[in-house]
Amino acid sequence: MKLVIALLTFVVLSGCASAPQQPIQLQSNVFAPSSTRIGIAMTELPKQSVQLPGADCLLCILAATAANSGLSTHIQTLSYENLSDLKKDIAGSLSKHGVEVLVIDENLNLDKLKSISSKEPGTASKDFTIYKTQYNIDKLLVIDIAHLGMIRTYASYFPTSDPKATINGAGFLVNLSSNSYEWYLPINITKSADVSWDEPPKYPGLTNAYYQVIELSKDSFSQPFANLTTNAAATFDSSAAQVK
Amino acid sequence: MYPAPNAAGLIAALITHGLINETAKKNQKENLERMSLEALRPYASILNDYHHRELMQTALNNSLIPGEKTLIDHTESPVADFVITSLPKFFFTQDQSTIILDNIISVSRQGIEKPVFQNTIRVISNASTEKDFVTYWSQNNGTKLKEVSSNIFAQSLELAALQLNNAFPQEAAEKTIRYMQGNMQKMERGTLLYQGCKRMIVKTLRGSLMSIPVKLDNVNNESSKCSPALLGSVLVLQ
Repeated sequence: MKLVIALLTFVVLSGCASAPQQPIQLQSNVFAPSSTRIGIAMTELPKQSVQLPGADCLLCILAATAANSGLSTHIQTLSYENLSDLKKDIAGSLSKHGVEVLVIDENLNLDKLKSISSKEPGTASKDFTIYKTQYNIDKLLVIDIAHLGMIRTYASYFPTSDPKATINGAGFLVNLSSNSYEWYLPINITKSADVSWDEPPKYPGLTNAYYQVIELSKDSFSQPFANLTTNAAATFDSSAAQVK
Repeated sequence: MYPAPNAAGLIAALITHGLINETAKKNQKENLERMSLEALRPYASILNDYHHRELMQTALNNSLIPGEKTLIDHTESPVADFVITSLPKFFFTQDQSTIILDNIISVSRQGIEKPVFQNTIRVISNASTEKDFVTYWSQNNGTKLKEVSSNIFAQSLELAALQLNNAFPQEAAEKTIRYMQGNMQKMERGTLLYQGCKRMIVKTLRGSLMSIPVKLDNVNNESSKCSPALLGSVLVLQ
């Protein structure tokens, strides 16, 4: 009987666990042919917060939250530093080389999309195909910031690290015909304060680190397109020459 | 989550974690110090013979601060209305292309106990493009090393004087500024006080000043581009 329960638990837990999406490098041919229309969107930027992994019990969470309340209050006064302009910046990079882009103004809500469970590697876990007709696009590039703020590890009630600035999320390009990823870039950037972190009420060291992780994330998301467009331009030019 | 059977076990696990962390940090620090000393070894004989008086006198002689300037030892009585006290720390970047100065400067006035000015000023030299840094810095008894260090020291005094004279704009917006430190790009959140063709002056979130080499993209993106030379303006300590 114990063996049956153990086996059942194993089966249930292994079904719940799904492998995280691995990075997929951007290839130069994803924007070919030149008639491909790319939509670029972002999800809503999250409210800045302090993550406290390890403070697992209810009282632990309350104690840790109280202990970091000054920092939490402060980071909510900080700006997003034009993070939402990322889609326009990437669109600009692509447009310069003749890629037809549509910047989607409204924020995507990924939670509202239908979930898909597929064993095919590289298949998106949400159904993005609805956007094909909604925006008349062939592919959708999404920048999704899941968390922006600070992180401080805990062991129950006790902090085990200094707070650090952090940003995490993912950028991905979905082919709206096959619902498969053609580019996937997870980011998880953390930066400590220089010198000292505990300088309330303005925490200049952590504030400096916060703005640096934002800049580093912009670089991470933009770089593949800045590097790619030179190759893509050659692909378009040669395909255009062949059409002529 | 620490695997602990009870509260006492958790505390023991935490103490152990803390000790392991502290030991690891101490080992890392010692390792870095060892690497730093090793990197400075080729310059040891030059640095041992290069005293603060020579550095500071050369800097004062070349400084743009007008008026008579006398270098005195900290034990001597002041001979002027204003006394500038300086506590400089010099660093090499890991690639040895750049010297960085952190200078804690305070300015006192005769008869007033509290300093009229106190700040930390960081000056980052332009990165050298030489291939052999040891030869570059140490040839001719360290001429280049002494020249660059006294130049950036002079610049730190000039920046202190400019700030004391409220020469910088008061209401500049805060932004994240990219700059070069050695051959690495760095970033700093602060207020851009001055944008030159090759150099920028930034006030950090802590209120300290930084004089940093321009990252080329910054020059193209800034509307003001190269501002008129700020350091050539007349400085009068009032």
